[in-house]
Amino acid sequence: MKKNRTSAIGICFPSIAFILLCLLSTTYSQDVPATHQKYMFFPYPLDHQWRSSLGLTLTTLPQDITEEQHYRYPALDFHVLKKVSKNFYLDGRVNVQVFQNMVTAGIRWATPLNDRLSLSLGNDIGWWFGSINIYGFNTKGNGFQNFPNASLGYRFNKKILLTAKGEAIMNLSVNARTGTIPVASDYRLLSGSSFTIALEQPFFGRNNLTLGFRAIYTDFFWQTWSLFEVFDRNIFYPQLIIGVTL
Amino acid sequence: MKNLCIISVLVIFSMGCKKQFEAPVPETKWSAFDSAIAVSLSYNTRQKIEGIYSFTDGADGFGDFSALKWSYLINNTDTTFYLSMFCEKQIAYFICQGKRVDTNILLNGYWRKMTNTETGRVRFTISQKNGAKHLLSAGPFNMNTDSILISGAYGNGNDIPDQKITLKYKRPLYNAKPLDILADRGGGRTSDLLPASENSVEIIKMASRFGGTGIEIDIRVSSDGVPLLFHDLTLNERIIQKNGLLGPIENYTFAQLNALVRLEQGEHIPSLREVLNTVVYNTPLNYVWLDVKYNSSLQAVRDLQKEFTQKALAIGRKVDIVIGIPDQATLTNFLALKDYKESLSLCEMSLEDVRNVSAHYWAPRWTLGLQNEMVDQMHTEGRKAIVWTLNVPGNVLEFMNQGRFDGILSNYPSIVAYYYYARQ
Repeated sequence: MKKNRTSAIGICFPSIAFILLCLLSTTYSQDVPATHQKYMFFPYPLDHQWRSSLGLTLTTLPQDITEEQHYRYPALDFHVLKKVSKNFYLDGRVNVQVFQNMVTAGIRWATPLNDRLSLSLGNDIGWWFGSINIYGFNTKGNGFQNFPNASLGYRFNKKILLTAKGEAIMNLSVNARTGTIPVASDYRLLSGSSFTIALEQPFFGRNNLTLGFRAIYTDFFWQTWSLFEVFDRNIFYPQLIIGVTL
Repeated sequence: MKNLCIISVLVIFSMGCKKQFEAPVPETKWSAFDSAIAVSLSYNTRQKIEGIYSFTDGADGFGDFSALKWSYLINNTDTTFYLSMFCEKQIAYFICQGKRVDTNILLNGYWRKMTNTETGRVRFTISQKNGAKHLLSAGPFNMNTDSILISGAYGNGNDIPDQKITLKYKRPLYNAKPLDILADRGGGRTSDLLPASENSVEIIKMASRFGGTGIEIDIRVSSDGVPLLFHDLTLNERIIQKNGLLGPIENYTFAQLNALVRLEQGEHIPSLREVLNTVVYNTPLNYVWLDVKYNSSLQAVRDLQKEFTQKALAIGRKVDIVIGIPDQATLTNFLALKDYKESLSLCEMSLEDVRNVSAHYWAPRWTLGLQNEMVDQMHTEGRKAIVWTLNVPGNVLEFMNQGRFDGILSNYPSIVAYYYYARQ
């Protein structure tokens, strides 16, 4: 009934773009001491009280859902970490697209496994919200999501940090209104999962550059809230992540 | 490090695998149903089967109730009748054909859930003692609660049905206040994995099986002026099979499109003439919303509207063929028609625009809410109101119970049909 096929367009563009960006950034990387590494995704205990980055996430929404409104708008991505104790830190992110935005906050427990490998476990709670009042729309929406996650990191000699992160996506609530009436929703609690590969390395002085690719499989991606789709399928959303530490 | 880089690249590629969803219609062969002694059901029998039934087995998969309604498709001199069973849960439906074998009635077909890709075969029997005797008799039948028991089994995919399913008659279908149930894009979207592509002749032939009493179709025009059906501005792989052609559909002649382009499921892009011919002569559909998506003269569309309205009347059918006005450009083109006031039209814009073009219908987007006062204004002026495109089941129910619209356009006409016919 169902079959898996590899979609050339779906894979190749984001993957090749990601690899090219990695190669380009490697060309200009500098070898700095380990204590000066400024990672955001790498699962390792924080040595500073605060760390932050600013960047963009660019998600391709499937044309089956967006149809002619198949635009790719990046979201501004502000990411901040706050040390709590030796192995614990807080992780917060703000994604801004004006019409729709998301704030997540969570806690991480991170520990080195050996000189190269490290691990973190955590949980994030996210709240998305949006409002559209143009072109025949009079809609507002918001919702809570939960993201239990685990990350595995590997540190290369040249201070290149590679992180593989897996997370579950849980829909805690979806609330939307159109005109004066609420929009009914019947989304699954276990909405899907996502897998991220992130590369972090020194970039332009004492800053670090993050390049990441996130494969999201979910029946509800928050940036599609205003489309009110009723599909109960885990649809693939490829996402590119770019950030520079501040 | 080199190995790790290779592994990373492989991981990225493997995670980039995109699942392609499909929901093909299952094989429905059933030797008893296909046997030489199986004969068609009479009109009388078919009418008596229609109604609201409760699931006594199978409610977990399909909900508590189902609305059973017949539709038909005429092919030359043959007419095929289909019994649709509209359900609430996961926007499920069954589509069966019916035959009589001795003193029993057999129903054979498939089921589908529109929110996902689940589908499978289904086989039902109405035995003599469970109502077939009365259903097959020529006389009237006193339809009491539980007077008909439809029992059978359903399966997944092409598996032989083995999961028990039973329905009991409860009451007749609601029909007190008429409602136009309009199927979007001729019957449904390509992305909903239906057996035919959106805006194709094939999907229009299925629209009444999905619950539609009418259809909305998207009208563009080829470079040589032929009105045709296509939703998007440009040729793209969401709708058509990959063929190397790019750009606006208006750049190609109809002959070029006919020869070089195939819709997602292999059909050709139909002309409006071909589609209206199908609606009038092959289907029970009684409403066609021509959603105009191009900016030039509407004269060719108006001529076809007149021609096929007359052809329908000539065979004793009333088919409302309505020119849709979604924006200012189309409104200007519509007003340029000499006889625009005599043309059935539907305006999606403001009430003032509706009045200016003497539109017979006002059609706001559902995301503006119920707008009961404005709908009442339209009714006071002798116009009707249709809301689009309402897909969320809970909101379909809300618009039906709290709204005052005369019609609902949906990509899921089966859920609109279920809520409508199940009203009490």
